[in-house]
Amino acid sequence: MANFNFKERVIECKIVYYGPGRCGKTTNLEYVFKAFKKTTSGDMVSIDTKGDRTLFFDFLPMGLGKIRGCDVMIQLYTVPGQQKYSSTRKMVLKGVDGVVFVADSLEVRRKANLLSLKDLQGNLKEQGHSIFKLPLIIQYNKRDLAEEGFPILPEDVLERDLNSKLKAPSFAASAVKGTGVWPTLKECMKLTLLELQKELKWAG
Amino acid sequence: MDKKVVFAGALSFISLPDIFQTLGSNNSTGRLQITSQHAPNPGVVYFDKGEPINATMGNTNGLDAIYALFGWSEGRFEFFEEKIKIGRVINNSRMQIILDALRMLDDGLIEKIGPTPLPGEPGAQAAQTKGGKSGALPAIKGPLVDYVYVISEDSFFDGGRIVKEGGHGRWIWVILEGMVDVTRDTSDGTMAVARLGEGCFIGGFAALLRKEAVRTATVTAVGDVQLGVVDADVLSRQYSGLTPDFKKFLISLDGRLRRITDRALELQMKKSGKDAVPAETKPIIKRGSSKEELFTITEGETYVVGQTPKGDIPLLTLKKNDIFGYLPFMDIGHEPRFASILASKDVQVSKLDPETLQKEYDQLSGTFKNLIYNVGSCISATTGLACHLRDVK
Repeated sequence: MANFNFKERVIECKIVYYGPGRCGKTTNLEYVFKAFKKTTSGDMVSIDTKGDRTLFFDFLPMGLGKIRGCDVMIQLYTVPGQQKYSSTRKMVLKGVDGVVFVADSLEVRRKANLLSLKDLQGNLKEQGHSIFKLPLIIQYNKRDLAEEGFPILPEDVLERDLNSKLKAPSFAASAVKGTGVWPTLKECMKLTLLELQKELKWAG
Repeated sequence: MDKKVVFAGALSFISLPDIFQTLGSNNSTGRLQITSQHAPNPGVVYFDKGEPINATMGNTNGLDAIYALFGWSEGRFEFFEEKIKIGRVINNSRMQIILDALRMLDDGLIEKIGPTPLPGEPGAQAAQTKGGKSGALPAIKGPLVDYVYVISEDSFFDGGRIVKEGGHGRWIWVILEGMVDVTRDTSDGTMAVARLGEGCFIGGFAALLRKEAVRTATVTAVGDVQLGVVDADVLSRQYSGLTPDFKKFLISLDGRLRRITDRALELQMKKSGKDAVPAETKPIIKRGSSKEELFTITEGETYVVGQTPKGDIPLLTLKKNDIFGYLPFMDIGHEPRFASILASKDVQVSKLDPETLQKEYDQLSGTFKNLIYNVGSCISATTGLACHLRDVK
């Protein structure tokens, strides 16, 4: 559940990028940070967690509107996948409002995607969330690698592998080039805010 | 001086990252003070408009002090809203510090300071199986030794018997260095009950209650052990000055330790007589409840029922004059967070005020608090042992 800061009249939502190592989570966030430099508040925090970096920054998207007179600030995080970073993972996933699962399109990473998604389900459960209920977007990243001759999985295979039960909105992307990054995040923010409004109505 | 506590609580409930984020999103300015029974000095973090600017912990300060504090899993925190005069030495953002500290914690670069994990908490199972080849139990960590009431020191060599089950005596020791094994004689031979580490006490409240107390277990040195003899007379006097409710609470706590130990032994001997949750009962406290209610039994019985991955496990029975519910100043790994309370049909209870007990607790000497804390850790560790024994059965 989002954090309401009534003093500042800001609602802070948490969106977390999850996925197997080197799938492009950080590239996604770096792209957003660069492209929307003007609407980010503060610096990007980058922590060297082995195998993966952990990133964080605050993001005040334009045109998201207000909820009950409060601005909406999005906190964007990536989370280290490695087993041993449980404290970091716990902190990042605590109170998460929306998740972007970044899948690696490379054929050789097929199993890694599946394992990571299962891992996400388990970690969310630990925090009392259901992967089926939480706003979730799936992104098939590295689509551009096909042009360079790397064997990648067709989108319908990825869809069948990862999304046949979840039925989450999914996007093809190439985070290095920036394609698909914004649509992914935009959709995730949309779902997150809709969910938040639903919760507020229920509560109010 | 403008100085007041505006935000306080237990670290086991609100973790340091959460506290940092709360103070951050409120743009708070002031001093965050953290105290733990496991650390000699409190830690202090200074915040200016929501950002940590300086900190001290023992001899360290600045960022290093903050990082060290992230290793504390238990303690109390208080935030004083006040003007900060100390200079800024930290320029990292709040979130950078949090994420860096957690990464260091996971990488094993920050020392973890706190009690043995409670059953059901992450790490509890690891601690339970860490016994190693010898099958020995993991040592229960005691609080930081309070030397005020240590009147002399005793040394024991490896294998030396410190206390014999059935023997008489009312001395209380605190372990200054080394470890001891606590065993009980049963029809199936000698059985291990617990391994106690530094800061733990040998001898419980029973030694304070009666002139002649019978030892309920045998205690043997594991390796060379240095013990401090605690001034039991002073503690006895403190005990007699307590209110009847507080005494009742202590006696009930001591009884819980005895009964959970019996239960663990029963499970160790593979006697599973009490393994079914009693029928014809009604739940009074549900596991995970956050109600801050405390009761004493005036008639009937209640049952403390824990949970393991393999299902419910009856832990012990509480009787007339026993106390159950929310204890503000300690966590024994039972209700309300980790166990449920079921009651017999004829049960009658009366309410106690947890705050009154808390106030009385706050007045106690450091050693007395440590003694209570130690009984709590032993109950929680033995509960973990019982759950583990049941599940491997």
